[in-house]
Amino acid sequence: MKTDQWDKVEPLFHAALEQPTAERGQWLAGATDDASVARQVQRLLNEHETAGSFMEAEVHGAPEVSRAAEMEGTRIGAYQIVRVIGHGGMGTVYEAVQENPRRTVAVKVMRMELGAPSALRRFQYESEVLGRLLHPAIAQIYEAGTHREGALMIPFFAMEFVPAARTLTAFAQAEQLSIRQRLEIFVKVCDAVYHGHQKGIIHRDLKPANILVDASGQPKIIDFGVARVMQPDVAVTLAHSGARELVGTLQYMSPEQCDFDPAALDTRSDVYALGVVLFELLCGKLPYDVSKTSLSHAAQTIREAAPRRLSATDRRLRGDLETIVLKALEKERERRYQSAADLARDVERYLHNQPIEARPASPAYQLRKLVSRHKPLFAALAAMFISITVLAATMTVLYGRAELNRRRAEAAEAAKRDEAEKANQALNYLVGLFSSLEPAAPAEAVEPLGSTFTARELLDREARTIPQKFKGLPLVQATLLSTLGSVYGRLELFERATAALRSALELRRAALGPRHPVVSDSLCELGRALQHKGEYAEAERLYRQALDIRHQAGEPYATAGVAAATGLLADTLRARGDLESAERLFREAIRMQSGDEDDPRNLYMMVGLCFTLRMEGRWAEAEQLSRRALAIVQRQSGDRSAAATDALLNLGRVLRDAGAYADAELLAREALTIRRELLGEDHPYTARCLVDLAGIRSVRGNQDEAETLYRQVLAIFRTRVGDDHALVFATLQSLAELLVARQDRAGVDALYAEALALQQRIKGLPEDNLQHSGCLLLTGVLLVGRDDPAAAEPLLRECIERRRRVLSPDHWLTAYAENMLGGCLTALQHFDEAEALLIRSYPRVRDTIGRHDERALRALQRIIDLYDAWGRPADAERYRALLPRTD
Amino acid sequence: MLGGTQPGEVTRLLTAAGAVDDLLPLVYAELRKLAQAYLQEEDAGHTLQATALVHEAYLKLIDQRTAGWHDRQQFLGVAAQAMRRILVDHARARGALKRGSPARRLPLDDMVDQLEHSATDLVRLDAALQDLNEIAPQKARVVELRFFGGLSVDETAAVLGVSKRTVERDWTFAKAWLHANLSESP
Repeated sequence: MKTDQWDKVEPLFHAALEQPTAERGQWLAGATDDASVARQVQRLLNEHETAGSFMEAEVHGAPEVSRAAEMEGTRIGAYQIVRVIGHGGMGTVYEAVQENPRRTVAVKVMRMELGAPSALRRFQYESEVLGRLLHPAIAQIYEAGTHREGALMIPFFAMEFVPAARTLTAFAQAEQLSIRQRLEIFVKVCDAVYHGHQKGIIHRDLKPANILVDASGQPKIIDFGVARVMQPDVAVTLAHSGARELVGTLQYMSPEQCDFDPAALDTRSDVYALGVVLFELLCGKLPYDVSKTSLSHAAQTIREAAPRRLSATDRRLRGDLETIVLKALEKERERRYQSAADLARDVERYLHNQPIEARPASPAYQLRKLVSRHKPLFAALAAMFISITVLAATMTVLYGRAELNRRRAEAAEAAKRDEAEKANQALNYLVGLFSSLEPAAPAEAVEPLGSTFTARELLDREARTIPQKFKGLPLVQATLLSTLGSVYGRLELFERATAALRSALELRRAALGPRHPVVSDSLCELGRALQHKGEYAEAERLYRQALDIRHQAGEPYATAGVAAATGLLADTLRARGDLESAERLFREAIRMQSGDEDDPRNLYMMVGLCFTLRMEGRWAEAEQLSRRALAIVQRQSGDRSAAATDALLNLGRVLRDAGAYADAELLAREALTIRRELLGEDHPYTARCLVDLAGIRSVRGNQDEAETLYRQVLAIFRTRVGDDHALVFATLQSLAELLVARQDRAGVDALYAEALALQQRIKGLPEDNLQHSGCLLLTGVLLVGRDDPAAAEPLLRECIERRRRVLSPDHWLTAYAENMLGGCLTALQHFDEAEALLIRSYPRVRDTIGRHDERALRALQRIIDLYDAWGRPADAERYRALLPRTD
Repeated sequence: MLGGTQPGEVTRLLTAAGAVDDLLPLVYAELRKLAQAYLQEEDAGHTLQATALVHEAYLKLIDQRTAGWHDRQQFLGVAAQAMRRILVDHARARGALKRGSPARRLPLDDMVDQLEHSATDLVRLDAALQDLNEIAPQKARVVELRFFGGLSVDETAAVLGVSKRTVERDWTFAKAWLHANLSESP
């Protein structure tokens, strides 16, 4: 037909459709004078009425609601349709009456036709299997048949009618069931699912909508296995459901189902869905919020993201229940409950206050998952892992643990908004990384380490995007900056660390006011970073500010907060050499905390005090304290735990400095044995024990063995952390000094060649990396060993210059470089300057790493060598007396 | 062959302004390939539907990490267009071979049958739709999306950026109009 004047025709057409069919012609005549328009509208109205199902087949592919309603009163098979109960992805469900036996049934008419005869046969076969499911908590299938609609064969199921049915979640909510009551119903559901599994049937579509509860509280699972009969593949699921509906279903689909591989499905997919149902039943939320995402993004989330924490929605749900849910929701089927019955039994154990079987995933496992989910970051993280492992002093880590909890709480508070949720994830990612690394080594002075290029780049990128990504969320920004700052700090990128922590502090001050407890935490964080950098005065100032805030904070914050800040202040004073004040403050802090002997923060003060006593030369007291710390750790974490090895090494160093070499060596060997068991032969942690052992062997006069050990350590670090990692530099430094002391010229020459190569390789690293100064120091020492002190001198001066800049003039590593230069100047016979440098630097080195650390002893030896060379035997003798007697 | 199309590529094309035309051949190829895959499933017991193909192509072609709702709508729009071409081409080719007895039926045959069962000759429908497009492009687009792409009213409304009610009205009107035009000429 030709149509013109659309602007008039169309509105009239729609208006006419509003009228009853019989009156449309009359209405139209009165509505327009234009005969041509009226004719066109009338024609279209006629077409509309005669079009029938024109073009509708593909569009709907199934009965629409209106058509479903038309079915009322008609018959399907032996069933008289009474009314529509509901529509689902697969079809429409009717309440119907069966004549014989006389009963009310639910009839589900599927939204599809059975074309090929083979499909019909399979439908019949599969539905027969479903008929064998007999369980009080499964709605029984009475009959599966086909209904002829025109030329189409429409399959239907007749099944048990559940009167007054509500879905599981709706029932629990309406009846305000307690957690216990919810769990009891859930156990019944699990048992029913297990029954189905034993009959060889997987439900495939478990969700609250398919778990009805009748008025008496009896659950009835519907559609058991129906998905299998009707939907041999996913394309059909997609074909028959709108995207929104599918996303709804997707929430309950296991990761393997999201892969759309029907073959990958098994009973454990149902276990997963039960986990989601349990999650929702307990807290009313779903483990993944994918409601606002696209279909396949939702699928990806389920496959890859970590579920939200049950305990984050309700504190009561932490602990065993959370562990149970997490186990059911594991992404790998092998890690889930292996059957619905196993899940039910664990829930029952919980209900009976018995220990559950599920165990929280180990930190190591979580880390592995984390890493595998973020492959591109792997290299960077691996490097961080190592640095943190070796670097972290007890101070940082033990205090850090409390900090982490605080940060999590802070982030949870902010997580009310969408972006905050994302931030929280990012944060948990980083924080989780650290928490899975604990326990880290206590009682270790900061070692000369550095960053790796990739980790730094990664962090820099993060740092840049934070303000933009979390605009308008200052506290989230602050939390992330704090975390970044501490990571930077552990990588010894002090400038960046302090910058990030300062920003975090400012953000918190602005958002919370200058006297908020969180601000005091922020002050402490920054203080620690400054202390590591060697800026003790500034650190002290910040700690005092923090203390001031905490003194005025209300309980329960005050006591713990004041104690922690006091401990930090004490440690700074110790580092500055004010041992008397440090000791007093440490003891004060311990007294404040001593209500709980096992309090980890107490341990931190104890180790700090132990450091102080060691510096004061009060060996017996230091030893006693170390032993107590060891006992606490062993009680807390077990005799052969990683934490215990840290405490063993700590005690070993105290004994070493006290001159009890044999015992010290024993302890190092004990730690080595445990770490080998726990971590393996070539783990960097294990290598760290070898370093201690090498030092003691060397001091005890067995330099051959020390050399062998250092070379062993070097090999481990090189394979595990990479050739130009700071750990490799530190080890090369020890080895170089050993070879120089032994006057092993061939060895020195070989190492010198290696140092030159290293120098080339690290050229690309940023200026502020410690590797640059480390390499200068190494080369300088080797040049002195090659009897070329004149060439060494400028290198060592540059090294000192860099360390003053990148660290601080007060840092022991700067002092150590000065000591080297002193040795070099002795060789050049510039005795005056050499003396000044050596006398000043030795105590700094000794007090930080311990008087009988191999390196401290070498620093002492350089003073003796100076006076010998200078011809001042009395002075030489005075210092020689300080050398330990080798036993 | 376009079989190796990477999800990222399609997503990029979606995001790039004006790249929809470049996208069509890719989607077209993927849809055909998917339809082909159904050959292996002779016993599937169901009829292949455009909706299934389009959504599946979406899953396959779109890089879900970067694609948002907007991309999805744009994709559905393109896919419906591609489906129309595939089906009409197939119907036309089949018409040309009408006398021959094909060795076996192709999956597209079922689809075309199903559509023609409700809407007469697809080739003629296509021609009428082109006429409609001259006069009322949005209505023609609604038909394309709903009939050939199998999109729901909601999805169609989202793709076109109009209300559901508008889609319903356009759909009713276009159906009446097409019905009139198809019952007229031979």
